[in-house]
This record gives sequence, C-alpha cells and structure tokens, in this order.
Amino acid sequence: MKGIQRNHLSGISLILAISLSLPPFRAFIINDMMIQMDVQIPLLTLTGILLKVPNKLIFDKLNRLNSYGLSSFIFTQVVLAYWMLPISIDRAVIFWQYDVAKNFSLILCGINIRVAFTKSTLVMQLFFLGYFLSMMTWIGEFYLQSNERLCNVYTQNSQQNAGLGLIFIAATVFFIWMYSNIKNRSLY
Amino acid sequence: MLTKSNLEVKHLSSTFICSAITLVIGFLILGLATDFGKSFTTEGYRRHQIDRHPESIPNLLLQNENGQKVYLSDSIKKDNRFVLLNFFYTSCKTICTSQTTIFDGLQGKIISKKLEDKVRLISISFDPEHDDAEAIRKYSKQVDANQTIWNIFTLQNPNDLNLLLDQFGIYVIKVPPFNDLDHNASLHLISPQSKLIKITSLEDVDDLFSTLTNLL
Repeated sequence: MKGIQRNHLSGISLILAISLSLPPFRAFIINDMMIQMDVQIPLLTLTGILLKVPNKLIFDKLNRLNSYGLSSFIFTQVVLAYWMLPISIDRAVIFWQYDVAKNFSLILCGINIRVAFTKSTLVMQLFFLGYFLSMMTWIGEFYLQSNERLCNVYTQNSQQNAGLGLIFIAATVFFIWMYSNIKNRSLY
Repeated sequence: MLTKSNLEVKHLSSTFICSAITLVIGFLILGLATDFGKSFTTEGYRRHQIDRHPESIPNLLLQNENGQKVYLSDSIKKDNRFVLLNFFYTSCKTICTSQTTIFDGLQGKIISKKLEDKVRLISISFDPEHDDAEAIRKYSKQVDANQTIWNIFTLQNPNDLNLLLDQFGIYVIKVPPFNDLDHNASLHLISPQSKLIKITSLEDVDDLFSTLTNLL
C-alpha cells in the first residue's frame, strides 16, 4: 500500500518536472534561473527518491558493487555537482540534448540517493551530506553576491534569486535529514 | 547478530573498485564540461576556445553610417588592419554608455599612439530592426566617431541577426521590467586576416590594447 502511494507521488513529481522541459512550459526555465535550478532540478531528484525500485535489484544483484551505498553516493555527488555549474544549466537551455540528459541523470541520481541512504551508516551520511550541502551553500552564496553575470541566458537578478533558493534548499534538506534521524534512531 | 554492517562488509573490495571507477568517470565528465577546471561559465569557455582556436568572422552584408553596403569579412581583409569590435544598439540606456566611453578612449589612444593605419574600431548594432542607416549616422555623430578609425554598422538584412549572434557566440536576453537588452557581448579582437583571436570584458580593455600593441 505504502509503495503504491510513493509511486504516485513520484509520478506527479515526474510529470511536473518533465513538463518544464517541454514547450510551452519550457519558457519558464528559459526565463528564470530559479525555476530551473530550484524547482525543476529538485523535482527531478525527488522523482527518483520517491520511486519504488524493486528491493531485489538493489540488495541482491547490484549489492556487490554498492556496499554501504558508497558507489551511489559518489554517483550522486558527481551528477548534482555537474548540474549546479552555470555552464551546465546554460547548455540545458540552449541544447535540448543536454536537457534530456539532465532529466535522465537527475532521476537516476534520486534513485541512487534513496539506495545510498538505505544502505549507509549515519557517519557516511553525515560525511557526504555535509560535504554536498556545504558546496551547495557556497555555490548559492556565490551566485547571490557575484557581480558577474555567470550564465549567458539568465539575468543577474535571476541568478541572485537562484542562489538564494539554493541556500534555502540546502538548509531545508539538512533539517529534514536531522529530523528524520532524531525520530528514527536513538542517539548512540 | 545480523546487523547492517555484517551484511555489507563482504563486498568492500568490489565496492571500492566500482566507486573508484565512478569517481574517475565523474571527474572526466566534469573535466570535459569545464575544460578541466578552466571555465565554469559558458562565456569563460567560449573565450578559452577562441584563445586556442581563432575562428573566422562571418561575411555578412552590412550598412555603414553613410548608407554604403559593405561585406564584413571582405572589408576587414581588404583594409588589412587589426579590428576591435563591439556590439551595441542605439536605444540602449544603461549598459551601453560605458561601452561608448571605452571606445571613445580607444579612439583617442589610437590617435595619440599614431596607430591609425594599424588598428580600426568597429561597432555593429544587434537591433537592425530599429537601427537603420539614419539611426547609426546619428549615433556616429553623437559619439564623435572618426570615420577613418571608428566605423559603425548595422545589418543590411535583419534576418541575418541570428547568424551574426550565433557566430560570435552572443546571447541577447530581455531584462524585466523595462525589457532592456542585456547580452554577453564584450570586446572582440580580430586579425587583419579576419579571424577572431581574442575576446575580453570591457574592464580589461587596457590589457587587450597592450596585447594588441605587442602583436603589431
């Protein structure tokens, strides 16, 4: 029962995210960096996180390569770092091929996040999450206070909003993770 | 007791190999995207590419201040001078005023260093719908352009605009609330053989000028 509900949410998130890459809604991501970086990219990742992948696949067949979710963590770090770069989101707007790649890779990334967090220890989660969220906060702050317009297709104002959004998302993710861990584990 | 660590620890070596491979491939992909850490922005990437591989200028048909029709690339080759080129539009209120000042300064420098036969300035409008021959003639007078040194052009055929912007790698965007046009166009250095050899920001105009004088 719970699996079906999660897949429904995943499906809704998928439709919302992909429709932003299709005309006419593509105009939203073309006009505002915040929509692409703080709405579409998180939605795509969320699609992957919510998706119910058969446990047999994760825990039996691919288990050997992904002890403690280490390979998954590394994959997600790479993918998310890639799509936070100004040059990548420029390319995603200008070339539809990059846009397709973005959609696929981020959904896959979301699936890997769920796998990684299921299999890993608290310390590993803290390490990777801490590293990634600090990077995200730093990039957000850089976009916010930079005098240079970093993306060729977005205005300076749009860039600053996107930066602010990134910082907000980083803080939200951190608090959600903290809350879910305090709720589920006893402190040890 | 069956704990998570008991289940996972058997496969550590395969995991490490897989993770290492993922990391290497990841770095390769990130490296290819950013030219190995040199450029995280499209503009930076474009400038590095031009530094390494100069590109030819498109031979588009333009109109000058006097209404004469000129082919861009042919004109540069025939003229046999280095060219410092920028883009503008006459109804620009905010962003372009600094460009005009800089080009005025460049014109003055060229005259004072007696480089009139070696260096030329070109300004091309990227709003050919509104900037016709009349508009650019007015602009030319307004900025005190010396026609032997500084030529102002507009596209003869407004449909060529996309080709012009594509070839120079320029993206023009509308900035709310007044729909001013913002763009990444800056200073372009073109050789007498009509090849784009360097792109710099407006602030680095002095560096560009010294690079140029070293080439002469």
